[in-house]
Amino acid sequence: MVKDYIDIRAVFSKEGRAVFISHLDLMRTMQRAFKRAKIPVWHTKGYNPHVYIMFPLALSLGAESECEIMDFGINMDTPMTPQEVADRLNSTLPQGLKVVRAYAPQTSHKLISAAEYEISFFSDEPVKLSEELKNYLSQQEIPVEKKTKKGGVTAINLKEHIKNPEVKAADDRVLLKVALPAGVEININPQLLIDSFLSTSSAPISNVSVKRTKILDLNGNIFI
Amino acid sequence: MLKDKIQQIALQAQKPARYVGGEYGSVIKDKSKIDVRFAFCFPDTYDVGMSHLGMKILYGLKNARENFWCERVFAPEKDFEKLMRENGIPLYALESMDPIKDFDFIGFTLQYELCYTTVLNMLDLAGLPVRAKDRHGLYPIVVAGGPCVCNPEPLVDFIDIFILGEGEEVNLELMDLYNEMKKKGASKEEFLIAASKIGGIYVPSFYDVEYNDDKTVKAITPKNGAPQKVTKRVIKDFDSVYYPENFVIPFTDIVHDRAVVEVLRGCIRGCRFCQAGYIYRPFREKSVDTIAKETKALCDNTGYEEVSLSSLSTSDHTKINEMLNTLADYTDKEQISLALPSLRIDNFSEELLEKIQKVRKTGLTFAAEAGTQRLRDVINKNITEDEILSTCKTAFEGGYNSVKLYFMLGLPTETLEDIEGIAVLTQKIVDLFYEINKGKKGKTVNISISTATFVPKPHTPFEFEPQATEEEIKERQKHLLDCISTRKIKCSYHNQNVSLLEAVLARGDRKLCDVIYEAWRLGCNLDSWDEHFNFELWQKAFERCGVNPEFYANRKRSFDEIMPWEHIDYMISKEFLIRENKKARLAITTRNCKEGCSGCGIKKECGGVYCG
Repeated sequence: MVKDYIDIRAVFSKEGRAVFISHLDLMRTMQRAFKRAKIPVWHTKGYNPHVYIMFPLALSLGAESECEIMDFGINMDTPMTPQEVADRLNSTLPQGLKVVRAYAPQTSHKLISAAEYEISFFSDEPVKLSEELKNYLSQQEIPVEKKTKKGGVTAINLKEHIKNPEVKAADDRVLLKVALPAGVEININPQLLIDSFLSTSSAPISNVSVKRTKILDLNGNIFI
Repeated sequence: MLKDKIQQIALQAQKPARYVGGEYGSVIKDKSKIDVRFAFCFPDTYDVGMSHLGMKILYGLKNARENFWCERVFAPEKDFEKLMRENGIPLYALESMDPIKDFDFIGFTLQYELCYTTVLNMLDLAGLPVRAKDRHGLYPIVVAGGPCVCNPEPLVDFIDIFILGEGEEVNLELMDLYNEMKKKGASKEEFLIAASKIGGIYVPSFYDVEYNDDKTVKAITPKNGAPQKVTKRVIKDFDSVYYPENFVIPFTDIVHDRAVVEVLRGCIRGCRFCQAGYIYRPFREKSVDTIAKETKALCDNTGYEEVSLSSLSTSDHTKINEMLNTLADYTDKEQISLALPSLRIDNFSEELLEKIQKVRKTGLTFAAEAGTQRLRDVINKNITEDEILSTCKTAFEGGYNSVKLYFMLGLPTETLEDIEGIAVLTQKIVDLFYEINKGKKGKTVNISISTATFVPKPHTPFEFEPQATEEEIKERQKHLLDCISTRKIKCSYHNQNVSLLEAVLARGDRKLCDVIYEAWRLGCNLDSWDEHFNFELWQKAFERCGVNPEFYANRKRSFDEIMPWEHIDYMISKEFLIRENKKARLAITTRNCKEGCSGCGIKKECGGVYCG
């Protein structure tokens, strides 16, 4: 079939109450926002045409993000600039979702290979906790069990996958900046690291929050 | 802050998006500028409640007033309720995340009897005494509306005010009155007295009920100047009644997740078992222009990819074809699918079928209700076997290969012959399919029969009738299975205990308040969910209160018995109901409103299309 649409990629943030929108729900939410915004978005051609959107990378329920990605098409016979698409979407998205920029993608989403996160461990004893976290990260091997897609579990060494960790103690929390594999090949959910660390830690922790800050390509550059 | 606390624990619950609000279309106001705050409670989970059209209408209606703020509240699932109770979080409204115990009104919509314990649970979760007499301050005033308030007596201990009939006008009148009296520093009692003067407002504590030795009602006596009978409210000019231009769009998948446009209200048919067919009278409809305008506004504003037409019988709209053509022009262009539930067999034409097909080939569902013509005449379900078969023929020729049929068991005058009739009729449909698809390879048909136990309801000609007992129903279910000889037909039943409880609560009196309270104390909540329904606890509650459920469900009531809802006037006269009941016994049908008036008691002034 002749391609009758122009590819657009949008980067959007997800914060506040929007962190409770699951991956599946996000699809519906965006489809409706496109309809409301009267964007000439490409529809699937099946018996029940619907707005076509692709989210190459899922985000865990509860996590914030500054850099979620979605790919979609704009009908070729009714073109619209990426900027206008972004503006229109922003006028109709629910609170907590915001398109940061939109553009014609130059690369395939398959090139996504890692993501950077900021993980906040809220605690009354941030100094103690930060020491624990540094010790935890300096281990030679961090064995964890990872769930497989087929529903089983496989043992992996988490240490191999943790890239560029930075630990910083603040007044009420310890902040961990870290890059983890993300994408088609291998994907490590930051929750795996959090759970693994929490099981070794003795400092009191009242809450943990996760924010995705960057999506990276094979070379460690920001994916565009 | 409560909001932060809720967000912290929400992630531990299933589908947390149901508990945090923030949906597109939800209305946020500055509470310092609000005179009256209304917590609209749906006594079931978010997924069910958010699908309910009445709530969307009243939410929009109240929020259209600058000084009112209406917010949504649903019952939490049991996992989240546990988290709320453990963390000291009271029931809150989704928009402001403020506790509802501080609101001016807490309003419940009662759509089915099995939500009653959930109402109590929500009041308790809000941190309020569940009994009205234990809530002394002016606010919150606990109100309830919806179809079940046509017999509100089983809930009178818990609710301050019942709102009878259609809510678009009376809700605003009530809130305006409250606003005025709150400013004057009125007491709850003073407000209730003033409210009871508004048409359609029923203040149950202003009525004394006496009983005879045989436990039937002896007399219902009003006090404090309350009217002898409270008459339901009806919107006379239905075409210009308020309709929302936007909905709150949920993040999570709910039961009916689509735009809905109400095309008509009331029903012309008068099926004798159907409560909705009587309590929503008279039949009124919106003009094609209005329907088209509302469809467009709603689809534009919500972004839904599907719109559904809502009514008791959409094909009874006087301009159905013009309406569908107009709507299809718009929905085709916008790539929106148009769903038409509630079509009747007798006017299900090829043209109509084509229109539904154009958008989506969903399953076909027919409510045949009874297996023989005699019994269909008894219940005044005016369709013939020929009509059923010719509709199936049209459908099969159009490529359908599955049909779902609804029947009731335990209808008045039913015999085993009528049960056999269900199997015979269904077999004819199977045979018809193979006749039409003769010689075509790989064509197979699926017919599912869903049977429900008949529940006699107030304000219907069968309000006098006993419900069939469990033994009788079991015998009939077994007979039906014995009569079915092919595996193309699948048969399913409703839970008998659920039907019994519905029958008790639907026609119950004030003595059931204690039973409901006891059942809730024993742990009953979200009874409409199979996984939560616990009949043993209900049985225990009946025993402890010394109330016999059979007295309400399985007893034949005489025509001169004073019903517990005798003072609740839905404009259908008792004389009419008795006349219809007698005709039912003789299997004589009654014409529909379109064919001619049968004198049900609805006044001409109510704006019915066929009234006078």
